Amino acid sequence: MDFSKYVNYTFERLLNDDDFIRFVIRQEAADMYHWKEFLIAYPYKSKIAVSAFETISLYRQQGVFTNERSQSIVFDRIAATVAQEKTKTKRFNRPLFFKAAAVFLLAMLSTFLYFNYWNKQTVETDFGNIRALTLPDGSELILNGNSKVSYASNFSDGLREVWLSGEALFKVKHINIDTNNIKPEEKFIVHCDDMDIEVLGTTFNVKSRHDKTTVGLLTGKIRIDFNDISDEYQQLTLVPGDLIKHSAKAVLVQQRIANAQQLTAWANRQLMFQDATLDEMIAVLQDDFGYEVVLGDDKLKQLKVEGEINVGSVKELLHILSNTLHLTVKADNTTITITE
Amino acid sequence: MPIKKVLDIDGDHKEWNSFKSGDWEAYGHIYDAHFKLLSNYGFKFTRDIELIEDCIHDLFVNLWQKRAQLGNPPSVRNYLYKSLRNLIFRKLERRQKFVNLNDDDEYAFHFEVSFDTSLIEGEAKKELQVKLKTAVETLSARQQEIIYLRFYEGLSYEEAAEIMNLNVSSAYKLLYKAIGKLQERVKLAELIMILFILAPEQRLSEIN
Repeated sequence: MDFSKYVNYTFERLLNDDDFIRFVIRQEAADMYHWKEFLIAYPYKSKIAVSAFETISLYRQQGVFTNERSQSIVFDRIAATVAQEKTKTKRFNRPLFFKAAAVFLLAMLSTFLYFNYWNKQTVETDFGNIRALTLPDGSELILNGNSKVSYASNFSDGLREVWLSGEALFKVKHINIDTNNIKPEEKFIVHCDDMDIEVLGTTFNVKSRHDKTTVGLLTGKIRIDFNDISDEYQQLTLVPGDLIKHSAKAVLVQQRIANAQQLTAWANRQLMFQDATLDEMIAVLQDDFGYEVVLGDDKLKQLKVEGEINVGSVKELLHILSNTLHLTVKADNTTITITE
Repeated sequence: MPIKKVLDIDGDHKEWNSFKSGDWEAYGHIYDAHFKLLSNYGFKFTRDIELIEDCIHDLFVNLWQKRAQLGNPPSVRNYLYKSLRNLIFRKLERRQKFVNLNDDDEYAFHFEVSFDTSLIEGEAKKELQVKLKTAVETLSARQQEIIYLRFYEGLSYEEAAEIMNLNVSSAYKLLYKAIGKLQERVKLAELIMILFILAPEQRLSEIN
């Protein structure tokens, strides 16, 4: 490739030149040889071309997202959907019969596998990502960052069951009119690692992280099934305003919700704390947003911010921490460093 | 290094035709050849991995169901890029109407590239990339996208215009403006840097 024509090109003209761009992208050996000769031949006039080269090269140093691990799962979903749709179309084409038969068998297999193994829907959120979803029965739930919920696709057919890890706010639809007489098919059950929550037309917040589950009931009625500290099976019914904290290693704590708004503030992308220690606030930054938090001194964890904090972003929260606690707070996209 | 692969255009067309006549295996090959590229492209518009997967799912389901009515695109990859882009936009728009949890988010079109400093050697060059990154972020989403299609995917004006639903003259104007903006912010700082980085090397080669 002859580069001498580029001697008088402006930066802009170079960035608009198809051949030049192709050269920078491919950087084939032969071209690179001529390029180096060009730089030697025109040590000063080539500077602009060099800066164009560097600009394009640096732009191309990008992170790549391939989602490779989901490649076959997504294809299985595609095959399953296609299989379902296939049973609707009836067309017989003799010449293509054998090809179609092979495809049909594959479709049958996919359908079989679909109903037996892939019938579950799973929704998972990234750190800092909040998603609202509607379940097949019309119940709504809001999923906090770094959380995962799974449920069977044929939800409305029977027992409604949901598996949760992380945090979610549930608004479950009433099916039954008589709350004292709940038939098995009308139940709605939330499964966490360490407990099951049985629900009936209700709004409640479940936070299940690090082997601890906290459930706050806002409206309606729910029943908790769990194993207590002596590993005995227990049941507990909650009324609106109740808050329970469960962990395998401690006695079940039962309280009243101090501030309902604070419990569910996350669902409106608010960060609300009341007389919270730095430790509590760091937990939220790590669990929900995925930040790595580095403390200059472990003692800092016990520092408390008296009163109420109510902010709409992590940035604002960090501002408050640095101002009220007189700390130095440095943050980038992944790490927060707090020192005295 | 980018995950670029110079796709075999002829092989591509044979596979496409097989798939159109109902060859499930050919269809699977097309999927495998493009899944990672589509995921990477989709990730520029949204970080919602599940949404990207849903769109890829919908894209390929439609492809199979409508295979008899498909034409012969000059580039299968560009055709898939364009289709995916449309699907992603539609889903993002629909979500905006359904749930408005965060008033800050603008589901008006967003495009973001993530730069990777780890492979760059030398502090000067790393700094330059930071300057470039800042410059790119001042561009509109559409400008950022066309820069991406030109400099990263290596597409021509016509191809980029086709994918972005623009006519070619609009594409020219868009890119011209984008490069102009970049040049303002990058070039001067950069030229000075280049003089520092490369001058010593060149003098050596001149001696030799």
